[in-house]
Amino acid sequence: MNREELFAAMNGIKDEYIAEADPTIKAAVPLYRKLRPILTMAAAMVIVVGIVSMAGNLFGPKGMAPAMDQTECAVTTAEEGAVEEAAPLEPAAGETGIGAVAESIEEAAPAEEPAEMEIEEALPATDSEEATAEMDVADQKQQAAENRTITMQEIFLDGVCYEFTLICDAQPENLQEIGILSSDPAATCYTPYTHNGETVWASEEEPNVLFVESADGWLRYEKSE
Amino acid sequence: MLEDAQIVQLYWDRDTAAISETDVKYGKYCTKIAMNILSSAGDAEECVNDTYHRTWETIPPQRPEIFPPFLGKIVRNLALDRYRYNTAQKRNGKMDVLLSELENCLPDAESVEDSLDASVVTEVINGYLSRLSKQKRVMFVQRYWYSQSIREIAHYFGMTEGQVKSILFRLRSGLKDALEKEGVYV
Repeated sequence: MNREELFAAMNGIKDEYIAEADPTIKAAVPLYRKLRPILTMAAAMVIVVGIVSMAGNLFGPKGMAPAMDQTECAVTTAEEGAVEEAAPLEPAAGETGIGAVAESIEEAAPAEEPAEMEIEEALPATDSEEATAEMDVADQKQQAAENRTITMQEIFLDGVCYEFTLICDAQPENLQEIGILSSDPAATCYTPYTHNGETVWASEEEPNVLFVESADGWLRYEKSE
Repeated sequence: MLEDAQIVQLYWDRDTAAISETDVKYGKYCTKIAMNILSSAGDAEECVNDTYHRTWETIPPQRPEIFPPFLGKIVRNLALDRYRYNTAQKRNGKMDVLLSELENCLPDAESVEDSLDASVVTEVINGYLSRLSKQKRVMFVQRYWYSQSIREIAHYFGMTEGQVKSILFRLRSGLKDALEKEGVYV
């Protein structure tokens, strides 16, 4: 018997075996075999995500953590003006893989970082201006206080000391300008006496009292005892 | 679509509608078997038409209990006859591969003692198939009776072609052992 005869002999296979092997009838393929392509693809995706996650854990924090700190700092600065108090942005537990992927995505967009840094640089400048303005106000106040101190200094006129006593609410009446006679005959002969650039007035009614007009009002000086 | 028993009854009643009903229900089945052996649509169609004619001549007196295998055996025999006729003039690569696989089932030439009756071989084959699991039996019959390709069988079972080849290799080795064990020598 040769191979063709053996093939022909198989024609005597039982009808039931032939019927059950009918290839035109759909076989009942097990569910796991139907799902095998999907399961294979899902497994491949899990492996890829795992590799990306591992790569993110290995390389991500080095490159991204500072950038994320800066981002957080910039935001905090904008809201509170306290750069030092900004906490680093830590990925939550269980989000390592996603966080790493997000980091790698952020790494692919470096344009954002300089913009944030510009903001960061710009914000302290605003603070500086505000501080400068505040300092100016403080200086002005201090200067005013000094001026007042100067204003409140005693006035020496003709060897007599007049001490500041109070600020008058209203302009005193019957004031008389005090002049200084020049020793130079060619001069105009008379120069109004000033104190801190302000003219010193004498009261016609009170001989031992002088008045100086200031921004705060009329300052009253009385002859020291 | 008529039941198999009704179609067979049409043959018994000598109603020519039996042939058209057979073609409607089993035309695709017969064509598949013929095509697997002949690899030629024209030869297969001619073979299937001859099958209907042979069935018309065979029923009656026969009354097949399972109609599809009855038709299948007729179309397979006719297709094999056509194959032998064709191979006398040209080669059929697909069938050559299949038959070379079966050659592995045959005992070595040194052990040949006498010729063997084909019916005895068929009995051994059926005995061997009865000991197999249904899946392996179906796979064997699909390959060596229906002449299905490895790819078709793999698709049918949802397996890879490599898995099917591996299982068929073991099945052929098992058949060879069965033939030798029964003292069947070719």
